[in-house]
Amino acid sequence: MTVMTTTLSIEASDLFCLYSVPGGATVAALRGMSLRIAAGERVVVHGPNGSGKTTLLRVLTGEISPSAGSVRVGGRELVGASRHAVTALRRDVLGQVDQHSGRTLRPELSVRDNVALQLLLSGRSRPEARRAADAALAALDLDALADRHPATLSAGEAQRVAVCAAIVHSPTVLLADEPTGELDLAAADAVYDLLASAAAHVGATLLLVSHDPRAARVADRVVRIRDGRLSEQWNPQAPDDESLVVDSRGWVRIPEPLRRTAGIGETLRVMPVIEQNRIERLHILGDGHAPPPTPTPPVLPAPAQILAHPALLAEGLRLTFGDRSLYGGLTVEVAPAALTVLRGRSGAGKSTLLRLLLGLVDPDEGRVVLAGVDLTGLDRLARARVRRDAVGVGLQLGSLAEPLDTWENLALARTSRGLAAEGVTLDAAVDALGLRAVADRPVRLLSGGERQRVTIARSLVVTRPVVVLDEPTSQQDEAHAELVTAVLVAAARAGTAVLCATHDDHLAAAADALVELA
Amino acid sequence: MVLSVSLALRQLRHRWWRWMLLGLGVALVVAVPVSSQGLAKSVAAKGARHTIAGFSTAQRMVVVNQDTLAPIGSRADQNARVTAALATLSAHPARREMGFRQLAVRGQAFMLAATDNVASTVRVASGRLPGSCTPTRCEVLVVGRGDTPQLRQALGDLGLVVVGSAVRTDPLLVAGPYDPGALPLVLGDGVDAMAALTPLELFGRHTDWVTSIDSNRIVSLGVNAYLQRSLDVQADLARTVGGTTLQQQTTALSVAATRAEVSTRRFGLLGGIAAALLLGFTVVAAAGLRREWSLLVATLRRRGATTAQIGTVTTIAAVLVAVVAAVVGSLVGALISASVANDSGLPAGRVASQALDASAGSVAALAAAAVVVTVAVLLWSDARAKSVWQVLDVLAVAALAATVLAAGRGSTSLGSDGDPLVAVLPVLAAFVAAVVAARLWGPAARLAARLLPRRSVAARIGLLGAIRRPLRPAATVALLTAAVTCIVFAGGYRDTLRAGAVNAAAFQVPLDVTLSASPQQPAPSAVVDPAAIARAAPGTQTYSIRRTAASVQSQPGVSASVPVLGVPTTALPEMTAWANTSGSSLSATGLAASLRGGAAPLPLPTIRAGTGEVRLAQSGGTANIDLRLVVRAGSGREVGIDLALRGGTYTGTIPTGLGEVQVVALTVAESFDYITHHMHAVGEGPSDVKQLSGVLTLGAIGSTAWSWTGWGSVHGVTATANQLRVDYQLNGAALVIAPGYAAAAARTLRVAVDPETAKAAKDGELTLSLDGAAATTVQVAAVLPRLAGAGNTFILADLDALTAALDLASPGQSPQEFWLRVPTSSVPALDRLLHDDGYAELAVADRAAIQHDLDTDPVAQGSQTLLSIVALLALGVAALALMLLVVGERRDGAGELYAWESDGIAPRLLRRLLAVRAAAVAIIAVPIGCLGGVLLTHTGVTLVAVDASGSTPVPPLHAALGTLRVIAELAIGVGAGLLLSWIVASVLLREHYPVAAEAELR
Repeated sequence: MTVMTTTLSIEASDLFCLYSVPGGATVAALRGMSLRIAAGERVVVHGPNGSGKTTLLRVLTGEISPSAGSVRVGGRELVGASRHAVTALRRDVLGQVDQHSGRTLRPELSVRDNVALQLLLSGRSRPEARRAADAALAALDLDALADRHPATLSAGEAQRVAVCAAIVHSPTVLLADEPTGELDLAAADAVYDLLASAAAHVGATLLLVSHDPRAARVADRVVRIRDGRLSEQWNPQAPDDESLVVDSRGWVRIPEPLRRTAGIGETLRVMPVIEQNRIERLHILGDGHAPPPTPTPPVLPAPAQILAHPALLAEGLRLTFGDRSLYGGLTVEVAPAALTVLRGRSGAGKSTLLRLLLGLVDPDEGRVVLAGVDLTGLDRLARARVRRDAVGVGLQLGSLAEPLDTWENLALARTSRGLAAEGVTLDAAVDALGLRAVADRPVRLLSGGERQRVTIARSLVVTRPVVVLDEPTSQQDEAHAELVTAVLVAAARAGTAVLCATHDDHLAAAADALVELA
Repeated sequence: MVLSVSLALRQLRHRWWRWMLLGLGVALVVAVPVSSQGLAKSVAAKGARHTIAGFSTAQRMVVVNQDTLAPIGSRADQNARVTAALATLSAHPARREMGFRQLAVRGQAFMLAATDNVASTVRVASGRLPGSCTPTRCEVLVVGRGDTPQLRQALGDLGLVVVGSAVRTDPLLVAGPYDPGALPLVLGDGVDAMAALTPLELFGRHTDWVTSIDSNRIVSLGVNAYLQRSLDVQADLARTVGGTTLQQQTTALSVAATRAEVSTRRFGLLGGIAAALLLGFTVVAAAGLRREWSLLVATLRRRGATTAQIGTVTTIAAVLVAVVAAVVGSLVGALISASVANDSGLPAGRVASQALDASAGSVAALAAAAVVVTVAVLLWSDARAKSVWQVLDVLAVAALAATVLAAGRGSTSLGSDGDPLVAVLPVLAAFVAAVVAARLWGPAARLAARLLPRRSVAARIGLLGAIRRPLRPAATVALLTAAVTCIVFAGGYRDTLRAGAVNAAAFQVPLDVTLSASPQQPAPSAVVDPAAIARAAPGTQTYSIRRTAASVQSQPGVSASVPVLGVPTTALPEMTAWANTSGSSLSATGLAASLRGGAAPLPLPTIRAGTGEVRLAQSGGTANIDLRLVVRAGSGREVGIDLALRGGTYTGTIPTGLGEVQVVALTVAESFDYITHHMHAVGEGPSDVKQLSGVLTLGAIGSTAWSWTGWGSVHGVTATANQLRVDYQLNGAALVIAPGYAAAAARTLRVAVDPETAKAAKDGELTLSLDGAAATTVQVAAVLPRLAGAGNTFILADLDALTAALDLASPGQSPQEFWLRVPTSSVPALDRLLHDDGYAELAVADRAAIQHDLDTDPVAQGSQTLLSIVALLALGVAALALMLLVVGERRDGAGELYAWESDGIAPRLLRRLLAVRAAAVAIIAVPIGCLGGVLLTHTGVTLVAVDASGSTPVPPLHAALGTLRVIAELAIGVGAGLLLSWIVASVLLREHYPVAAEAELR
């Protein structure tokens, strides 16, 4: 590892990160990503699902090595670094905060010992490490929690302790991955503030990955990643001053709305405007063609039954989740033959709401009527029957039978509901989701995006009147995210009541109804 | 290090119950070798006691013998030294005796002895105890029968005065090699006093110090240590006293020691199997900790822990668990050892301590192995699964190669020179079976998932989910396979040992009871009356057996003596466990037919029961010859009736009680006086003395009627119906004249022989000389690996044919043995008969008693117990593994189960799919385990030549594992596995709401 004296804390140049997927195929998660972050700078990273945010973090922590390019963190070159050097990087240079505080804090240790852990691992004596931990806790106003154990903390407290644990060793770089994903608004704000102040306290660079637009308020700079590259950046103090990023190779990604507006089809011309012997500005001229047309919307068979409105109704929902109170009497109506999108930042309770609506957990207040059946008072078995008869489900932890291929998985989904294994919907779903070419491969050999599309196909082929999906585009690149969106719209047009929880703006834009969670 | 220890301790405190499960496995691993060592020691002690308890009176004697009597001045010191020396070997008191060789005075034979403190050894039946003994007159007792005036008169010549008769109360009094047997025992009081008796001063004498063997001393010292102490005592006495020898049953004790050693090794071996099996359990238990541990490792890595730090924390946690578990397991093992020792009358504390000492190395090794296994399971990356399989494959191939190598080396006795490879064979075999099953599980599960009907949703989902996370199911398959292998092996080997006892008893006693000669009754045919036995014990069949020897000529000038056994062919099919005892594929019935082949012997002339005498008219020369008529009673007993010549008629008196007899032969021999004169003549004069010759003519027979027709001999005999002319020429041997001689002599004896004797046969014929007669040729009808009731080499012939052949050369011999087949209902009656006078003097061997003795041998019982423990332990481990599989799949598969339930699958179906996973594991593991167990049993029985009691089995062990039994075990195993997994699964997924996996992050 080469240690350089530089003012840049993070310097990633032309990073390519290729994942081998079973079956010999390769997926590119980063495609020429370049990012420079100055020492002490606070940067928030946004980006759609599958854009490469998590991969970037994994590269920066040395968890994976890029296929090409170079990356320096805290002045240390990571490409080709030894395991020992990577360990030293994590121990001395990095502070990490995860979405789940449980990945940072150990339940068997007290808060003080959790905070002190990294110092102990770096060889400090126990008294010294504890003193430092106490000092860090006090600095972040968390000293009252020192003797407690993580299991006794609220989610917000635990995440704040996790932040404290991440900076106790005075790291050069603080990395945070969706740190407020499980917190309510107040707690999230507190964590953002804490991250900023903690980074400032130790003089660390902050790189914060989040879907939450509110995170920008603690940033010096916000960047957006698309398709594995840095595409745009802006100053949160002047959000309208958004710039396209030209990477080290000169590549620029033109956002889709701009392409349409500027009439940029497949080519464009860049014309310098020269005044007084110097280029004053560039004129960009489209080729006058429209962008490539949107593919023909797929056609999916109608569900076996089209429910009367509302297909799914939730009224007056309230749920206490740890120290959080969710939904505040929320009412949700999911209409038949419509795409309803449930949107909200991470931690807003989208997935939990889906579980409530599916009867997998009960609200503290309110009721859920699914396919005309009030779930209140039904036991576990009865609710399973309702879901079996009325809902196609695709949750994030969906169960695919990995040894089976796509066809067999879809057939299994049908037979598990007492339907004939074959059906016209199988071909329609497979074609619509672009799975035909890989449909004969065992699912374990498919990429993450392909597997996610198989999961969506599973929810459609059972021809239930309601389809509930959680983050259906989270592992799709933008093209496939559009494809998935089109399929869900088609399913809705065929009569299905489709309900999705998502961060994806594109999917939200296609929705017939949008439920925003605070 | 402090940090690592602290982190490790906190991990153990957090979710301690999962670590405790691992610790339980390790504790069991450790407890097994410790307790098996204690058990082995207790069994060895019991075995030694059992051996000593089986000693006869003579065998119980521990004797210091001196072939002379020391001078009077040194006797006291000598007595003290020897007595003290014997006290180190036995807690029983030692007593000094002096004995003379057998004496005969005035035609009265007797044994003369003296002992110190005679009053403690006998009970006076008449008269009184000796009161005085001077150099010229010494009072004595006659012990037992034989106190006659003639004896008293003869003793008087020696200055001995009989003052009474007595009954022996100390069985060791003048016993063993000095036992007078049927002779009267004349006993004086006080060795020194009788030694001074002047008339006896020229008689040779020996001095003995006698005590009884002390089983407690032997057990407490250990047999080998006792034998070593005996050698030390002998050496010490030889140095300090001189001319002494220490006599006791060292051979029998050595055998007991060897059995104990073999038993200990077997216990160690079985303990090793159980320990290895339980070590497999630690894999499963550690697998249950992997998920939590991987979270810890991930956190530590994120926070900069080095690989070494993570490894150290993991190792310390594993070591702490292993150490605590090893201590607990050792204590449990020691407690078990102490308890068993207490039951065996051994010092509990010492046995427990010895067990701990003896197993310390094993305990340390097993604990270390548990640590290695635990660390490997906890830290091995999923990405390295392929490497793990490759390592396991290599190990399995190596184990298989070692197994084949062991099989190729042949059998071992498990003694000190036993093949160690064979000793670890069960562990290797179980390991190979486990790896094979684990390897097969994945493909088999995939195949089953594809072949199952599509409507079998629970089964398909269950299998598919298990395929996705193969570690736990594969590990459980491996453990279950090894467990089933051990269960089947333990059961099969136990049954084999039991069957071995049955076969061993049958080998010693081919039918139910064998009656044979004893020192008290050297001629059992004089006692045994088949008719009387049948009357007393209805249904009992009595078969006469003849034993003799033949000189078998393997090549010109080279011959070997081979025991010959004459058995009625009708008895052969009655022999117990024929196939196992003989080792032959030829049936007993088939063998009987082969031996019977050829013409039946001609019927012999008979003399009716009650006939008092037989008279033969005589003419011709009778000088210097003796005639004897040989008749055979119903029991097969042959009796020679001397014929006395009275006025031209030879007359012989038929003994009473013989019943109807058959006339076997007539012998003409030189008279006793002629032989005497002839020997003198040869010794004093020229050696070319003329042979005795003449012509004897016998006429019609009085009192009974038979025809001389067919009678003949080697030469010189002419027979018509009413006359037998014998032109004899005698040269020492008697001339045997037998009815049907020509036919009998022409008859070829058919025999069955052992493989070694069979090598001497040419073209299926064997040249041999029966009982010293002229060489003859017999036909080898069969070759048998072994024969019950015979030794390593044997010649088996039909009793009638053998008797006929023997009677042509030396008539008058009787059966030496009787084999009885007794209906169960008649056993008590026969038992009573055998305790009657006459029969009570015979040597009786009872197959049931021998089998019972073998079955109740402490070493055998210990083996059976340990095998049962191994089987039970394996069963428990298997059951626990299945339960852990279901519970673990529930826990680690929570996300999958949640997703399926979200999808509308009912919890009932999810419970079923969990049960299906366990069932799938059982369905793969149980058959392979059964197969492995069967193969292991057969291989083990073939290779390990040790019976239940730790001896070399005769006949060799045969695996007693039937197909039906295996099928039943397989069915029960699968059924139990299904039931258990169903029961465990049925209590799961009963929460009010489905539990998502994320909830377990903390």
